[in-house]
Amino acid sequence: MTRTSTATAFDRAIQSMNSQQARLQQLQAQIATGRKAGRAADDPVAAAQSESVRGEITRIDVERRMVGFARTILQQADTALATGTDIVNTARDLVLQANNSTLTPADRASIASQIGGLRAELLSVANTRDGAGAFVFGGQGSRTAPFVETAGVVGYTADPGNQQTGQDTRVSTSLDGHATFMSVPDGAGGRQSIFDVLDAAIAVLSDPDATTADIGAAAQAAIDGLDSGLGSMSLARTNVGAQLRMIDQVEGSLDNSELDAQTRLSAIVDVDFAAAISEFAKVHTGLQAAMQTYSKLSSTSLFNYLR
Amino acid sequence: MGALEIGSSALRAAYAQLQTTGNNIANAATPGYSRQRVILAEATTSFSGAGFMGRGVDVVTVERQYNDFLAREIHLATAAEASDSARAGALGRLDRLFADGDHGVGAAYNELTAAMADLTNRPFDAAARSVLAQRANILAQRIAAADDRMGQIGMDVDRSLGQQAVELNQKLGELAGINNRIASVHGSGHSPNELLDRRDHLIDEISKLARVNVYINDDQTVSLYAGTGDALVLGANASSIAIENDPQNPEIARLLLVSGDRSVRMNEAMLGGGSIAGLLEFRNRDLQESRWQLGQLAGAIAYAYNTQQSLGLDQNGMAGADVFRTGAVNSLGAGSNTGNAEFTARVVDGGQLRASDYELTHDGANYQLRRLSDGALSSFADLPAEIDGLEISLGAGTVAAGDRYTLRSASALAGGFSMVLGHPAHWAAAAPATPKLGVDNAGTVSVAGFSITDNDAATAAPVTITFTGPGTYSVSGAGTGDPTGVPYVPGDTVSFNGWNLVLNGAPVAGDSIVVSPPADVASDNRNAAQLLGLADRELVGGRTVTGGYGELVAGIGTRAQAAEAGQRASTSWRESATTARDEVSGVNLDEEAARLIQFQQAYQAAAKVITTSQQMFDALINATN
Repeated sequence: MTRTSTATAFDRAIQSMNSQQARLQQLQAQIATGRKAGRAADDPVAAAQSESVRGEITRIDVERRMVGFARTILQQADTALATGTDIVNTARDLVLQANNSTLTPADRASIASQIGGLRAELLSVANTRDGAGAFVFGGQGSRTAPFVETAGVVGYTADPGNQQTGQDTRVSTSLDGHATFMSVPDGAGGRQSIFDVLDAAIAVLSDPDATTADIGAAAQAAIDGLDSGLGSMSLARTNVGAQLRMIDQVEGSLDNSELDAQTRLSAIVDVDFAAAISEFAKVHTGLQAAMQTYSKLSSTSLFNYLR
Repeated sequence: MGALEIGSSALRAAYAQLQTTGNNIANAATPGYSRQRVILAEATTSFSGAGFMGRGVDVVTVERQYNDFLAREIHLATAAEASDSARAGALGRLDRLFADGDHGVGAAYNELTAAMADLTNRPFDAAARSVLAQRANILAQRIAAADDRMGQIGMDVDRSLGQQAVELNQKLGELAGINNRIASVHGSGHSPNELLDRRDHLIDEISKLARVNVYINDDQTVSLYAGTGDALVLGANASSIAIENDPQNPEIARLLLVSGDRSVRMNEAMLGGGSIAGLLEFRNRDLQESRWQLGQLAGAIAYAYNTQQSLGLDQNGMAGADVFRTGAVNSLGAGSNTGNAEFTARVVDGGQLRASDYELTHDGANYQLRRLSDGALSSFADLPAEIDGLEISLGAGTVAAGDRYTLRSASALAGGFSMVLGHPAHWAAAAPATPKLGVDNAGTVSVAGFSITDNDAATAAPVTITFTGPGTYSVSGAGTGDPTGVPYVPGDTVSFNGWNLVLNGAPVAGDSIVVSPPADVASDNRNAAQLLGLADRELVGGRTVTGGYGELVAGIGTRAQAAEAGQRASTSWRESATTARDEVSGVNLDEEAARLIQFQQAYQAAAKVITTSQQMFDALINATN
């Protein structure tokens, strides 16, 4: 024979209501905040995963900050190199123009002076600031203008090479100014700067006593030097373009990775509203049922019939 | 006279039954009450010429509806439930401490890493340096706060254990008193139902605190033994228990059995149930091991970042200073020690650190070191000695044979964890040396890799490598010994003065590479890139910092999850045991209502027998008048 204890029956009913109320409150909080309760005990594996996904998102953010920073500098480098190329081409045209026996020394001096102006412009391009306290052609890093003119000769004060950033993708945040502007063959096995080339041309063109032969030779040397300088600048620009394209690709793939990581994080920490709301409704119904049965249980007693 | 006598015995019986039913109804909600029932027996019959005539009913005794086996089941289930629920509750607190992924140690570490990217981008940017210093500070504070909160939880648990020991001792004393009273009424032939109910209920209450084995003696008194086998109550005598922190390790709570003025260590692991067992399990294992893990993480982070800092130069060209400081490793001696040694340790390889403290003993000749997490033993004759990434040394005093010490390493490292970099300019973003290819190089020789392994005065000495042909080079510079004719193979590593240079490509005679300090130290980002790269390196026992922290969080979650599952199982066991007992011992009010009617009718019928017998007697008197 199964007997039931009246006190136990009441205890059970109360317990069931308590636990359902607690669950309702939990669900209500989840729905209100949009976050799961955030207890590792609910899903320890997910808790560890959420840490690692957050780490991944940081990693993506780090990479994006780095390549994004490099992009701003490389874009400036591209512009500077385009300007520099225009300047050198203009100087080249002037040298060709000067190499004409019909010109008077005064005409040549005027051309020399124009070339002098271009040289100053080119020096300023070579010392382009990057907007973040350093210089676009700062080599391995420099906070001061890397191209310094001492006694009419331009020297490079930074370390040759470049500075890089990025973890998975290494991109330049400072270009090798030496290779770009200081690496023109001098015709004697050594190297000179593109400024030296212009200086040599200016010296001959502004010399009223220069012979046609002198001028012809100087013009030829200048054209060779400027073409070589243009080659260096073009190489640098190609390199910059390649890095910018790579950054575009990297940023695209970082966007995808981040979306993927955020989706995974969301699956771990965010509430599935449909599921939470439907469970809320279910538990709510359960609680109502428990209350109804409790009221029936409490109103049913043999003592009610003993009058 | 017979009918009158029978009637009054029936009246007494019905009255006793009504009284018992009333008592049942009165105690329907009294904890520990067992339903009672009146046991009746036919009164001894008398022989007459017409056979044996019934002489009414006797009230034999009032019996309590009770089953020893079911009661025992409840004691065990109660102990299991109390243990699981105490442990689950404490673990829930610990879990909440690490649950907030947005504001936890992991998130702070991620922010530090993100700020390190900005330093790498622009090493001399004052804002980037200052943000980085703030992030490092926040990380340090989070680690120290987590350790501090774990310490608080430990102290709260200690307090709670102390209170529970007092409560347990009081109940043990009460039970001894009840035993005494039960023994004194033994021999009356009747069962002292109320005392027995109180006795059993008290054992239920005791089981909530500690699991006990119960032996019921012939005189209805009980002997109570703890799960460890220690006697807690024997007859009218009760022992008591005490909880103390191990003097050799304050993070561990010990259980003592006190009888009179003697106290002996109990084997906590054998207690097996009750909230005291659950809290001890939490205190001595769950909390301790989690704290060790945090200490391991803190020690590994400090070691890795400080080491990498030391390999770089700060904005002022000085070697990098420490970023983080851990708590100091210390030792605590057992009370029985005769020596007065104090041991210390420093981290010499963060990646080797284990999540454990150690017990250090000395046998007169050698030191024995036992790793507390897994019991692994090692031995050495002299200190300092290196083990698990720690260099252990004797700080002060002397050690005597037989002395025991706890070396608090993992449990001390996260305590007071702090950021100690004096100024944001002290972030060592620059490398002390950098390779520079000769600008007139005609070959294709290039730098495939360059790393700093040691940073001292020699590292800054300029070193020139000059190729004398496609397959040989010579080196000049302080500290190199100026070797000549060194064979060159692409991919070779050249190492001098604390740096490694990997060369690639095909050089021609005259090509050169100079390794010297960067032209503008403040602009160099090579060491910053290395500091940033630490986030990807396995710094914590074969895991990244993120991985190690994730493991700590998941470990606590797994413990809490298991404790909660255990609690659900033991609760349902306790509930089914309670139901089983209540089927026998519980009061059902409907049943009592029905009995009330039944006994009321019996009472009325008995009264009728008496009045009938009275009327017959009156009729007889009247007839004889």
